[in-house]
Amino acid sequence: MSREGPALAALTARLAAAPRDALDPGVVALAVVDDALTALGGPPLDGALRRRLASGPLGSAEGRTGAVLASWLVLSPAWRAAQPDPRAALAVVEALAGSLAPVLPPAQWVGDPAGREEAARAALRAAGMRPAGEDDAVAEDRWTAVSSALRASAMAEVAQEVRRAQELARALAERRAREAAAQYTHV
Amino acid sequence: MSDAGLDPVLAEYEPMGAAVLPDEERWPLLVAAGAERLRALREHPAAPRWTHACGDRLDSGDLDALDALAAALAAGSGRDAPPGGAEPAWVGELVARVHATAPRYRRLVREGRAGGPGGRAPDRLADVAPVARADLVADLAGFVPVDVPLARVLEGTSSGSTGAALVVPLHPRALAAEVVLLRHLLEGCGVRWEPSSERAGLVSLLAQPTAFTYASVMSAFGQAAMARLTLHPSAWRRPQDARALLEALDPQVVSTTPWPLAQLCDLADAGADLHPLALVSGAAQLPAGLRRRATEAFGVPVLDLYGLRETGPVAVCADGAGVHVVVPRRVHVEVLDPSGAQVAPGVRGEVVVTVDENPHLPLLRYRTGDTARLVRVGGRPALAGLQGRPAVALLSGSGERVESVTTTQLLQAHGLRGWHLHQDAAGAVVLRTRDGDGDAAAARASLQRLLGLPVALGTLDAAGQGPGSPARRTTCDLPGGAPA
Repeated sequence: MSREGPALAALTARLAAAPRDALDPGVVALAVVDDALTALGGPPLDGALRRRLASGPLGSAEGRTGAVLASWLVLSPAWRAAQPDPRAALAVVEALAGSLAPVLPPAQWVGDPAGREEAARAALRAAGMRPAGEDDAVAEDRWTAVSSALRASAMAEVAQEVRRAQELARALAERRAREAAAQYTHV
Repeated sequence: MSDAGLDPVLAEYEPMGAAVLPDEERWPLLVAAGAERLRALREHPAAPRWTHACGDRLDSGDLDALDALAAALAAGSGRDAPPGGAEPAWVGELVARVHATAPRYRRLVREGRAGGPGGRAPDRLADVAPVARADLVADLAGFVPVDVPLARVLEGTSSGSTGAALVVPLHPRALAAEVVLLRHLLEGCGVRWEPSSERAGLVSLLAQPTAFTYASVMSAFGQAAMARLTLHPSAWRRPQDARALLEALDPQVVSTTPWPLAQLCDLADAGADLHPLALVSGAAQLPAGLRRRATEAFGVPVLDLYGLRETGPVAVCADGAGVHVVVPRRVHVEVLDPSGAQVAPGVRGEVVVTVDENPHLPLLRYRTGDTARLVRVGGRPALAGLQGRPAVALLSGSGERVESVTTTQLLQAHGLRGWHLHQDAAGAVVLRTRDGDGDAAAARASLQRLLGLPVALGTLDAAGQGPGSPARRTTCDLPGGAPA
């Protein structure tokens, strides 16, 4: 069971209103994240966490932009009213930068209505929340419907299954498989 | 058979046509003593014209695993079904694993059509939709987990009694585990089955003319000799050779099916010098009369082993009481009604099997097409009144019994998936098939050649459809249509 979070519309509006600078690859994402977490009352990022973020979710240009947008989102009044915990904010940064940014370019989190909804729902899930007015089942269904990560994962699964079926057919057709092995019962 | 030649449609049975490996790949662990046993068996003066060569493909890791399995069985640790009818703990884990790794189930999850809440992966077996042989035939790869290496996969085939011929991906270790299981079951009957350098460990005995026969040794059983033989006269160089070889091998265990078991009893009646420790019958129902006859002829336990090639052994009747006790494998048995719901305990329904023994083919709720009542014997699940595949033979024009396994080979080779082949009390034969299923005309021609009788063609009506798969029935109203 998740807890009720802010209204989805409040979060998508916040993303749509993101400053153009947020998409500038020159922005120092770690500093933006650090500012956001301290603004929420958390301690400054320590060395270990900085290294983990830099070598992980913030290791790519998309990840860094994603982290900046996530920071912008968790500083919105609607978010802060529902979930002011800086640890939840860090989880949102990591999820959006590490999991969403690789499959959905952060520019779409701002400029595309579907992208905004997906980013907002991904942020809520990462913080253990559901949009205001939705129950868990509805939230889960809508997430499944919009999730690029799920679509990418499904496509990867399908590709793997196609390869695997071919591999199985080849393996079973090989003469070494067809010679079989001794069988001891007649079931 | 009325025609001694091999029907062209059965080309895969061409002698030695499927034997391609060098011996060192067949038996990676073969030692000198085993090699000598193998040579002696292959070159025995009474040997049949071997039609195949088969090893066990076992490596040292397999031997360790099989030793561990034997120890676990001996200790009774964890392989028996839990008391009180509870679902074994491994079943829930298997449900989760299969939904994460088997393409058919992953697809259901992706499409929101799986059995759990909201179409997601279910947490419990009861929410998994049963599958049937037709599902395996249509999409075998859908059942094979994507994370299991295929380097050692072996092709097994199953003719079965329901649905189409099926390729079953097998694993050498899972096959060899059947010997470990048999030893354990025999131990339960008071029979100690230990490798002997003087006798064959096991003979797998058939009676049909078209059969793979081979000489082998069992790496996981002291490299004792093992042979697969058919008693059909066409397999031997001289009429007396079958008995002579059996006497020379004096197998400790004969694993067979009802028709050849009846012929083995004939040999015993004729004074054959055989001293099996036990007999194991499978593939078809063992008639009670034949069981009594075999018990009296040899004075040893007769195990009636129930299972399918797809699932491996499921249950065994060791005492002739007509109740098959579920064997200590990772096999879980339910009895379901046609809608897929569990029937009340003791009510007859379809036997549905969940099994996690063959790494290439874990199965969730696999419909067997056989029916029984689920009961408990000594706290263990058991199948009472099991009605599976009857052992049937037709009478050829020349007066020879032709087992249904032989007609099944022919019909499935012609692409038929469901049929009813019937011989009436006057000896007339009719083959009923489904419209558009395989080449019925060619199948009829093959049958006529095999039986030396005219065969009429008919249409299979809706009553010939089994649950999930078209039935493959062979029936005979003539006296002697069942082994005795």
